[in-house]
Amino acid sequence: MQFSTSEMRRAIERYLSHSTSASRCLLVIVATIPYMLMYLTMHGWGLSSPEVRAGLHVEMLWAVQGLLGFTLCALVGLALWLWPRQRDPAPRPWAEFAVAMLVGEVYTTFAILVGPFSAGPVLVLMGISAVGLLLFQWRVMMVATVLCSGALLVYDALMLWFDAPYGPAITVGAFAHGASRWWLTFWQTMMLAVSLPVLVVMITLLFASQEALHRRLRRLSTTDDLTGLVNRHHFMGRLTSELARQQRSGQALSLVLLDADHFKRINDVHGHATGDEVLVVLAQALSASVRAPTDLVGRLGGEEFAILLPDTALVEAEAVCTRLQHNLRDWPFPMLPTPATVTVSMGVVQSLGFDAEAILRQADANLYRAKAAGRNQAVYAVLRATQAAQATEAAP
Amino acid sequence: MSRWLLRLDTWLRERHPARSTVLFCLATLPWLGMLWVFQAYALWDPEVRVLFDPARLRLVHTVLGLLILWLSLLGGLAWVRRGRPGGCGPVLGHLVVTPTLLMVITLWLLYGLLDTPLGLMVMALLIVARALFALRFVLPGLVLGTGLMLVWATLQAQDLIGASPLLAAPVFTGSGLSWWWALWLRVVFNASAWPFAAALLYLFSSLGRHRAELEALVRTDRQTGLCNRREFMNRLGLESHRHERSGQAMSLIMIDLDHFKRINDTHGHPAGDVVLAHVGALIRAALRQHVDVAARMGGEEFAVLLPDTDLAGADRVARKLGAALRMANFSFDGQPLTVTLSAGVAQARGGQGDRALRVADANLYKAKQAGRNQVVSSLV
Repeated sequence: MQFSTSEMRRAIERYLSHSTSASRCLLVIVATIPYMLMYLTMHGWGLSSPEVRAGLHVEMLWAVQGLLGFTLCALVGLALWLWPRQRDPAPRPWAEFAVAMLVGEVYTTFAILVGPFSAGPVLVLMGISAVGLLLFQWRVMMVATVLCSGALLVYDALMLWFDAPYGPAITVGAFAHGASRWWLTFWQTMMLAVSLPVLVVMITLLFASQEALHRRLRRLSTTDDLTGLVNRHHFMGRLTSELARQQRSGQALSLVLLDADHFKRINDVHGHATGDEVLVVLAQALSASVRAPTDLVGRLGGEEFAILLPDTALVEAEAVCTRLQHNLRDWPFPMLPTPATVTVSMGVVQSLGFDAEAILRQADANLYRAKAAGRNQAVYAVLRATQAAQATEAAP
Repeated sequence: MSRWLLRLDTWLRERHPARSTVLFCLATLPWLGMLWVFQAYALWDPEVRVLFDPARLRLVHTVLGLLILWLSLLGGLAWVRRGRPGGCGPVLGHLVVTPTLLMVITLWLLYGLLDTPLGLMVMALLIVARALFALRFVLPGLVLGTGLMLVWATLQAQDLIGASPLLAAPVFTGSGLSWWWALWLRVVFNASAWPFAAALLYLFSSLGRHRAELEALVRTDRQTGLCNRREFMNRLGLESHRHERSGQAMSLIMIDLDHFKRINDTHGHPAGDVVLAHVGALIRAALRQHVDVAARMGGEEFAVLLPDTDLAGADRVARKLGAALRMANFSFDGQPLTVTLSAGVAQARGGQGDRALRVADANLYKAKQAGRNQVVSSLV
């Protein structure tokens, strides 16, 4: 169920992003015409059967047939006008409005004639509004909806103050004769059979795309567009929450600040596009070298990355960094001329009881030292609460 | 108005189980209560009672009353737990949604499937339920209700069940409506159709809003509010094409903040972020809206695209930006700080925007070499 919903939603979203306003109008016209033909036939059959006619106001039914005929002609005419323009991307609010009103006017009339407060025709109107809201401009549908429901309200006023009959097309006879009653029941059941599935599917799809949109928004606000790693903002948030957890667990955490060596040169020599590709591959190498899913790799900006290692002492952090350097030694960078390797400099800190600011500053200082010492290496430090001075050691 | 819509948006987005349950009960109790009051009056007034089958009405009325009690109880329970992070688990959702859906569908079938507006209430209820809960909470009620309707329709087609088993005669029999049904139909219709239509319009408009938000987010750099590099390169391609056709001048500025790494190192990354955001605001303020395009190209590097602007004009803009940044008073850790920028300017020729970008970059490099805090301009 979940799977088919999302498949359908994607198909519809693809259609919506690639279709023109004219082709959407055409789609609605093509989808409506069979139903109108069905009702045209059903009314014709009712008019030809004396038993059915006995239960109905015949002149009303003839008027409806006329209206249906006019609407069908107008829709076909509009379709013929739209057909050569279906690839033209111009927005066509007036064509959309015409389609919405032509369809809406028929079913509003139906609703009034069989009793405006019954479920069938009104549910059809709702279904039409839902489909229209999906395909047409919001404003267009807003106006069409107001006009159609306005007509229902006007008729209600006529009933209240001018004694207009409820369900003017139907007489007592419609419920007395077998054939007439059957005809009316069939007519009304068709309304429900058409509208209910459409509405349920529309509501399901509406919320499915709403939820998909929220998921995408959340992902976008936490990840870096280029590499797919978490972004700086989210990384800092995770660092803060890990520090809060640390206060309870008493376990040390380690942080690696990491910078691609001579990255500016790659950008200058091969161009920014190649530089971006290198960053993407580097991000993959980083993700492959950490212990998923506990370790968090983030891109802080430019060619600067960071790895958060919760509950990790310096010894284990060192193992991670060594593995990373080892992996990078023969990690393929197909966008660079061979033989090309990308190396990184790292500043690593183990901390217990320090705030994010102090940790980052120390890691940055270590990174700077690693760069100064000739790059492609890591500089380690332990931040201890008792001694402000750090035991530092350099490793290759 | 829009603030309330936004708040509703966040509530709906949160999907906190207890809060959703509270909202569901608040939304559905008026509907159920309204139907209950109507039925209570019908039971009390003998003139109206004759329109119903009294024994069945009493039974249905009792069940509806029990459901209202049930929802009030669970709603109250959820209210007490609304502040807890986990709320009360998913059970509460199932316990309120499924019975309510089934109850209203059953009422629809009992009052008359074809001539009452209760179907609209079912749809409105469906939207409320789906807005507040995930699909799996709504599905049981939906599937059971659909099954019930299909069975019912089959039995009705065989004439085993009347059109309105709860009533003495269907609501609408072709002759005029009794005053009671005229009132009942109107109230139930208006109480269901308008909220349903409003919910539909609101949901589609909020979908559109979120889509626009998403598109904006994809295009912008979050720290500065300027465009990101991808969007800048897109716009550069477009504007180059236009510039080639129109023959109007087009210029580019590349900007780099001087010694930015030092700010990050001495005052920490948050200070660097403040400077970046400020530069973003300065650039935005200095440009023509909807015409010029400014982007953060990465790190502390910015780019500005100025359509219909010649080299002298672009040079002026770059110098103005440099002066504005020099005048800005930053203060970190109690120390005042002056930030400067270097800029390279170039004017495009013959639709070659990317070539102009390279020249601007080279000019920026020259500005850096010549001691920073200056602007270097040249034609392509």
